[in-house]
Amino acid sequence: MPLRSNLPPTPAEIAAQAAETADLAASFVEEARALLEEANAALLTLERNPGDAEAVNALFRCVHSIKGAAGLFDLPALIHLVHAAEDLLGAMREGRLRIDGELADALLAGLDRVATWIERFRSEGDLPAGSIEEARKFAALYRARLDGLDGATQVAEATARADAPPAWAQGAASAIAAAAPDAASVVLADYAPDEGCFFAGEDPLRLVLATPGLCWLEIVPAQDWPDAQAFDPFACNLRFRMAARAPRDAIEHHFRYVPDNVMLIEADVESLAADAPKDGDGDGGAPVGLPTLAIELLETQARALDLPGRHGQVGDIETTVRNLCRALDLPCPLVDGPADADSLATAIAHLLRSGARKDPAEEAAVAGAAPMIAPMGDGAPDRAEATGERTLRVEQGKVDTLMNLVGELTVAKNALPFLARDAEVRFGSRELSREIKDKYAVIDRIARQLQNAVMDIRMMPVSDLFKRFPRLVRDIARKQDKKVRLVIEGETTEADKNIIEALAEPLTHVLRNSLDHGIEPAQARITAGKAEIATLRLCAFQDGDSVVIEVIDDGRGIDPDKVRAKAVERGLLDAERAAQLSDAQAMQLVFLPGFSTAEAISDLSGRGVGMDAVRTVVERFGGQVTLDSRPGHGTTVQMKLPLSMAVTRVLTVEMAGQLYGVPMDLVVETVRIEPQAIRRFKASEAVVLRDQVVPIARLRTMLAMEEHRPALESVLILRVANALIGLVIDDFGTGMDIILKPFSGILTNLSGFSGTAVLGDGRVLLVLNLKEIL
Amino acid sequence: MPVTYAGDCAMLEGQCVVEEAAELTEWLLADRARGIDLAACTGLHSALLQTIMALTPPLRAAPVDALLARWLAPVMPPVQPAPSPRPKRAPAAKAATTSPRNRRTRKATAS
Amino acid sequence: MTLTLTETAPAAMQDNPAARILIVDDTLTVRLYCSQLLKRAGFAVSEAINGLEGLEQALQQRFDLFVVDINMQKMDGYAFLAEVRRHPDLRAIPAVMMSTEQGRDDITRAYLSGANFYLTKPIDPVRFLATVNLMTGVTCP
Repeated sequence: MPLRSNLPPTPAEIAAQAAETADLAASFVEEARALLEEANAALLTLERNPGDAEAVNALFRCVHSIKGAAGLFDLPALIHLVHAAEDLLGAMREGRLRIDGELADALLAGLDRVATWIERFRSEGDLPAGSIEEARKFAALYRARLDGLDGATQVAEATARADAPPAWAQGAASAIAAAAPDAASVVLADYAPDEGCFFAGEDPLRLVLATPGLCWLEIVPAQDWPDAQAFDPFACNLRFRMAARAPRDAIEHHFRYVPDNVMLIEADVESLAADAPKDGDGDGGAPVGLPTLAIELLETQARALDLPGRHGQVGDIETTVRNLCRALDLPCPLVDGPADADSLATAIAHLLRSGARKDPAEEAAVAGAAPMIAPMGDGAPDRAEATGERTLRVEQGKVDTLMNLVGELTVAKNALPFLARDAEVRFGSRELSREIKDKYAVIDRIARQLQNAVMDIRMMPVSDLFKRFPRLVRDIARKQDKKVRLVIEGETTEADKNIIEALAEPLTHVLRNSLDHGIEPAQARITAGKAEIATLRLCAFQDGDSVVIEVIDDGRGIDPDKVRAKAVERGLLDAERAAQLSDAQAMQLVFLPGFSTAEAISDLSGRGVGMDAVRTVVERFGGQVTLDSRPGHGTTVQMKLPLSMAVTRVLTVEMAGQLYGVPMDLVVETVRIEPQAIRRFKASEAVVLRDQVVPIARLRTMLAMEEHRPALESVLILRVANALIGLVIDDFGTGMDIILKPFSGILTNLSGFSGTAVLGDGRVLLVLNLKEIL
Repeated sequence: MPVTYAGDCAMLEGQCVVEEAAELTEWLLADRARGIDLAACTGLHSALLQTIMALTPPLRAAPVDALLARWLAPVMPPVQPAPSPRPKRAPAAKAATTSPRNRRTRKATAS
Repeated sequence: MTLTLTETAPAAMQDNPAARILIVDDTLTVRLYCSQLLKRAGFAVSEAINGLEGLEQALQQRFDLFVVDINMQKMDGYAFLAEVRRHPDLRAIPAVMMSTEQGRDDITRAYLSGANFYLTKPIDPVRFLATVNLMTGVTCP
């Protein structure tokens, strides 16, 4: 990880520092991701409402923060790009430039590029080769807008110019060739430092003289020297042109902190000169020690003292001067008690004259910057406790481990009722049994609280998922020339992180479908008498133990006849059955596997793309998806998922001595009925329950077990896909919290079961997937 | 301080830092006949370099330091030994040690 | 991918810190970096994400130095320093301003608002620590 640090590492601290560096990089990646998302959102807001000053500010701040944080790492290309973007945004902030679609595209593309670089940095610790060129292209594009020029031609020009040696180099060709006689090519650099660079602590000459492989140098004034009287020594007016015999990336690296000021070109050395001068060793940068810093600091205090606005406020300057003396172990020329501006000025001047020359050993010691814990002298600050809300960043893996442990605790806890029963039945101790049950109640409560607490950590707002969609909708709408307003509601609704993440893809599918097929082009909408701008709503809300996400468009809706026809054509059902389906039922056909194909997308005037995939994902997480559409008015797709998925409550069901689990949320009631109450209609059975006919299914039949006719039938009344069904089983068990483990490996596709769970007494429970078997 | 003002010659010695530039500029502007001596200079801040380039004071002695001599020679004002013996320093001895090296390095860059 | 937990906890305070520094910067990574550098060097460090929070903390406990960013939401670095210099209890505490801005105007404005020194980002750790040492009066062995 190329953290920009040249602290001499104390051997004992190397490991700790490496860990800190990794932490820092991880923090940077995460923060940058968040900032990029925020920037994206702000940019979209801005595009909709170009006058939104708050959005400009937010965007500027995000980009600025990325730049600031990136500076801690060796990421010159990234910094170069965001720096140029920042300049552009600065102009927007000052009202000199207004956003338009093209500019937004350019900025979005830049942000995308930065995002890929961040991911690359996360995985590889560096940026891809050629990133600096790419950054330059973006920078040129942004600068061009800043100059009011046409961006595209500017980039082309910049690229074209980059290939040809600059005029100054052509003029000096023979001198350069003579300086690099045996080199096939040299890197030409044109370095124009900022006028204010001295104030930033830069010394361009020192940087230039330390250029690796420097073999030719020309120093010229950036602009003609002014009148001697008007000359300002602190305004840098130098320009350096050089040729270096070193790999281009070495030169690039050398000037990485001033990429804006350096133009690099690699050029062939065509003509070789006869007499070769010896190589320059190019190693001349002498380290600047601390007294320079102390002088700088003192000079700064003197300058601050002179600022008109600062007169009368010198306490901080006094503290600085006193501290500096203490740090350098110099006698402080200030007398005790508060100092005034004059005595401070005198003291600073005195220090600058006398104390500035320190012997080099001492310089080095101070510059090494290894401060000790110094005993505080008089006026030591009071011990204070800093309290406040603090945020802790935790790797998801750790929370998952915690979650698994909670799950195991739940399972272990569930062993206690078995133990209680054993105590009573096998050992005949009713008292011990009750004791165990009491303890169980306590542990059960704590385990539940613990589980809720961990679940809370895993909960995240759907906004984390939703925030990616404005961009998606914008891009697709722009591409298809449709006008769409995306309305997002209920962003603060929370759900388990895994659920939210799993929803990303299906939700993208559904939104895409709305945009591709549901929403009509603006002209068609006008013709149909609808509002020109379509509305696409993305809503989330909590409904009991579920989170519901809806995508509602006011597009053309789904034509049930076309769906019927398509389904028949695909051979999913025969024409006769298709005709019998109600319109609402017909629309559900889009969820059938094999309904949607690439071909179907283009000619079907509804949706259908991957709806079967959407359903699969949603159901895998224990959710359900429904679709409702009114031709001409729009379509609503609703996805309903459990809030959390880690612990599932099941009702255990006994079948031939083997335990099965039925998800509790499907169970409406449990009844025991006489066998003759079950009526037979042809091949199917049903029971009338409170004046309602409930179809009956026998689990033994489904599981291919032999029939069993008890005196009373145990029937589970379940609600599956909005219909009641009675499931005949051997016997009811108890309600139980289980950690559902999906099948893996070759069992993945085992139908009829959604997974397994280990019970407290070690038995394995198979959890039935009733939606599949019924 | 690495800059000493002696008579009409400013002697830059060792690592000369940015802070010197203001005073040097003022001092040179006060009398344009004043010159500079870079013989003992081992590091020159850009601000000082541009002061020399902009004001072109007579150069009493070019830098001895190989790196500075090699790269700065083209932008240095012409060497003009002090018209009169300078105080505090023996010009003959200095010139004897510096000029051959100067010539050599200058030749290297000029060729 | 990480999750974020929020907790209420006392800031880690060393028993005998070299000095107490308040970092006011809205970029988490920069705060983390500075605070790592300073803590390793024996300083006690507190952090604030904008000038307003910085001011609140500065009024609650004593600091020996403020390290202040310029661009921040709610209250930027200039405003923060101006407030600090107006406040009788805080005005004598030195401040370093740190920013990516390198223009002369920015730097002048920093000193006008009450900064005692200006460091440009990216942070050079040696220069940064040396500056903090000098400004807090921490001696070297």
